Amino acid sequence: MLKSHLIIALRNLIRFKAFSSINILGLGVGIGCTILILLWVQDELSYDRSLKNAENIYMVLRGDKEALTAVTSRLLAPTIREELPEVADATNLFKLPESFNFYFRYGNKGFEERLSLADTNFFSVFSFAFREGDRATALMDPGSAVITDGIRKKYFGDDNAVGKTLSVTAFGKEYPMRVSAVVDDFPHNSTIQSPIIFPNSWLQSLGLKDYGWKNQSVQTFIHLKDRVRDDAGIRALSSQIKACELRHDVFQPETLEYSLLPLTRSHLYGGGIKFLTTTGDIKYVRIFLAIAAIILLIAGINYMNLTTALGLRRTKEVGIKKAVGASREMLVAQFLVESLVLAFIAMALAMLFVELFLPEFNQLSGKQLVIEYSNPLFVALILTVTVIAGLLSGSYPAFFLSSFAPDQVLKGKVKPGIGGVFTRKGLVVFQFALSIVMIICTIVVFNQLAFIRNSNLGFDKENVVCISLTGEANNGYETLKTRLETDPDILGVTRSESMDSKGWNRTRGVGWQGKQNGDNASFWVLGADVDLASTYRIAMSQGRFFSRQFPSDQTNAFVVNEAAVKAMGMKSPLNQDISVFLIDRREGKIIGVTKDFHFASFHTAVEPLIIAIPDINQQNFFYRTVSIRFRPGTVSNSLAFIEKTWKEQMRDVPFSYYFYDESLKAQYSAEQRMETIFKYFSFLAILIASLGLFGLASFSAAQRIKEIGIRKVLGATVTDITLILSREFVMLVVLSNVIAWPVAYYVMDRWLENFAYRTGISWPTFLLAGAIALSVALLTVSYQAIRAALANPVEALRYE
Amino acid sequence: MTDSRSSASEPLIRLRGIARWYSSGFMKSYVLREINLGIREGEFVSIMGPSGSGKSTLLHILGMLDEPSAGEYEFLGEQVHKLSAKEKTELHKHYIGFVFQSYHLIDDLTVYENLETPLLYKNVKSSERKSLVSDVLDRFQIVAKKDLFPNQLSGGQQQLVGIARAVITSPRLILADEPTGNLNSAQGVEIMELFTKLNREGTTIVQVTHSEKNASYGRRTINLLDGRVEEPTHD
Repeated sequence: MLKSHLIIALRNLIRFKAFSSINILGLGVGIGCTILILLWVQDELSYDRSLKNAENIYMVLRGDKEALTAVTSRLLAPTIREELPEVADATNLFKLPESFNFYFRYGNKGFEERLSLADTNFFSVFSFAFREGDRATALMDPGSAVITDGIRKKYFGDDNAVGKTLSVTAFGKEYPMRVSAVVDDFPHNSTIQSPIIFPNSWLQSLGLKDYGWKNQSVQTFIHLKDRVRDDAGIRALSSQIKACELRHDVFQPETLEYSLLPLTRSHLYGGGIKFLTTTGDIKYVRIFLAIAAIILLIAGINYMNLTTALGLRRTKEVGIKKAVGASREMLVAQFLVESLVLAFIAMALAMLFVELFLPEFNQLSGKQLVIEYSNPLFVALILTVTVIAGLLSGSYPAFFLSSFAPDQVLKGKVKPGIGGVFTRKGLVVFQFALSIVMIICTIVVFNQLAFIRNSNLGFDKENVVCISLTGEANNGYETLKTRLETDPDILGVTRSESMDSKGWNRTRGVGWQGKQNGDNASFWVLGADVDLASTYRIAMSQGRFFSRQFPSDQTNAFVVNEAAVKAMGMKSPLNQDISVFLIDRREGKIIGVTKDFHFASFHTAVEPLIIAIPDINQQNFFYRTVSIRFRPGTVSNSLAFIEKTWKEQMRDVPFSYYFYDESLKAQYSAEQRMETIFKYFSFLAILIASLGLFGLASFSAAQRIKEIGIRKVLGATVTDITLILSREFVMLVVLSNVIAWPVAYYVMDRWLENFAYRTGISWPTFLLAGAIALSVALLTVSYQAIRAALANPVEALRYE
Repeated sequence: MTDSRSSASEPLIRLRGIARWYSSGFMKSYVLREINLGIREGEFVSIMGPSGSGKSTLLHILGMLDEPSAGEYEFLGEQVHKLSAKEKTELHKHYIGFVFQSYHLIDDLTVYENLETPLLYKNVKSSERKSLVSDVLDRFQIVAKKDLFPNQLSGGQQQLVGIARAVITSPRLILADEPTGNLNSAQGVEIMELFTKLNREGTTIVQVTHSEKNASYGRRTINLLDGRVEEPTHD
């Protein structure tokens, strides 16, 4: 039976070559897209899952919903370990900011690397595989370093590394570190990426002051004995952690909150948590899954439509089979076998498509996905998608075609073209509505990004180059600045914390006159020097910015933004006394108010900000970036001059620079990626949909060949006929628009809510999407229509 | 060959050396050869001949639906073989009405709409269309059927609509391809009498038929055999 099904399936494929090719092409591209997207989704979902006990590891978060941070005190982990019996283990990791890169050297090989510090038991909580060294003792000694295999190769080539000494330059001095262990390179789907790890004790051995419970900078992880499955258990544990901290540090506010984030969720659900840099977002996983479903559905509908349309030529076959005793189930099976055969042929095409576009897709999506035919998971994925595509697209035709009553069919009473027309049209409308929604989404995302690009940020982001500067290197700054300013193309030089707000401090410890007791407003604090406003061209709304003419600005003056004035509820902020508690408490007057400028991305409203010049003895800690404004159009010359001056003045300090406006773009990398992906996939969606329309139009023209003949005999011109044939489909696309617009509006309105500053969704967007869909449909249909209209009517009417 | 019956009116149609063949490989298979024919305005001509003798092809050529492979075709003094497709469409939509054996009504349109279709293509104004369709519905006594679809009519009724559609544009020439072929004899008689009446009112009619009886309604018969015109017969 199956063999006969297969033979009939193949014969039909060959008999209706044009329709088969359209089906295979459409389904192939659809399956290909789906596989690409699912590869991506699968990768996103795999983060941190390969670790042993991954599901029992949680990250400790501090703060309430409004300002959740991933940083805690270094003392928290050891305290939890000791005081909370249900916690099997707790450890911490301090990933130093990128602007803090340290210079490492072995022999004559030296590079800048990102450094992390971890508790001694880090590797007993995290089961990263060891290549050399001992897991238990790797971080015991303050002078030890754990490196990845990549780092080992970079410095030691093919040799073993354990026992060798890697020296690190920190705060202007060189320290020898003994490599105690080598771990495997961190898998790309690990949220922990720390190529070099020192023990926490290293910092203390340098004699640096640790601010204990006040210093909230490290990530704390706890490893539970058994998985806590319910929310109540997690909440109970969170409040125990809070109690734990309050017992040790009475100065912490009562309002302090703790919560726990499962490690396996940190990649996709960690967005919006301060000091947790994650590239993932569950929202985009969902969006991508939706796109995959839409594309597969559009391709499946092509098959349904073409097959039911074509199936009307097979009514006789169905009738005869039923007459000789085939049950409906057998016929359903036969048609499903046909669709599966086609789906598997399409799968071959899909793999070609995937192989061809994977490099491109990787670039678009920022991943390194690979195809592994030996991986059973991957094979299962392909097979599942193919079978789903086959069954999905085969189900309706099977049901429809097997429903003909044999006596009717054999008497010729089932007129081709009547059955299923309504459903077919409905499905075309559905397909095009989906495509139009995708086109609208693409346009809206594009518009929003253009809006961001073209909006006034409240300062001038162009023509500024930033150079990282750390620790002792700050000592050479004044001379550097003076030398740089000798060039007339250098318009401003300033020193501050890094200008992306990610690394800034945030505090609720701000006092002002008339502050209400429960007032819990939090303020960003930016440490910067007197040249910040002039270099970045930040506009003032009241008062003045810091100035060298007022020495007191160095110690007891603040500049705040308008949002901060509002948060403090001040009528006349100038000369008001405020106190800011950060590392130490500082008191001073507000000497100026800046206009609200967008120091953070458009996702959030401009938040209260206080700018202060750091204490002279803390400047090496706060100042991490030199920002230099150069004259527009002098990029290469200015950059060359800056580099030359830097190398002469700063000597060993590496010259690592970036353009400020480029760094701002990174804030929108997820949206940027979505725009590109949307662009490609909405193109493919409309392509597949019009492929189906092409087939349907040719079918429709064939159906109406007699009518066309008659009309031509009655005097219809080619234009008349083309219009008649196209009108039918144009009406469908118009209807699709009516359905698509409200859906797209709803979806994109919700998406835009991610932005505090956003563009609206305007009418032209809808009209443009509609016009695109309509012209694609017209182009597709008119080819068939014109061909039909040009045919000789005698051919159609000859047979009497 | 010239018409032996002399008439005062100018010839409506003149064919000189018309041939139609299909090439298959190096072979030419002839459907029509060396047809010379004149038809004057007001004639009622029957074309007869066995199956495959080229009757329908000749009719299609006359109706400008098909092109001769060789020869000259003059219609109302116009050299048809030299006209473009567009000009031919113009010519035939203004002067020629077609009636088919299987009626060829458009299934999705009502009787009324079927009758209206040729007027649409002649760009007749809406009000005028209405009155023309009403006229013809009256004349053919099918007013009651105007909202029915073709498949709700009997064969005779469908052919009535087919002829009504052919005459609605007041053509000078009606070409009928076995108009009664699918009808019973009573319906056939009715249709042939209708043709006679139209002919009396001045419309030139050329019909293709198998039946001697139908041919006898015409005033001249052209016999085709293997693509050639046989000895003309006169009544």
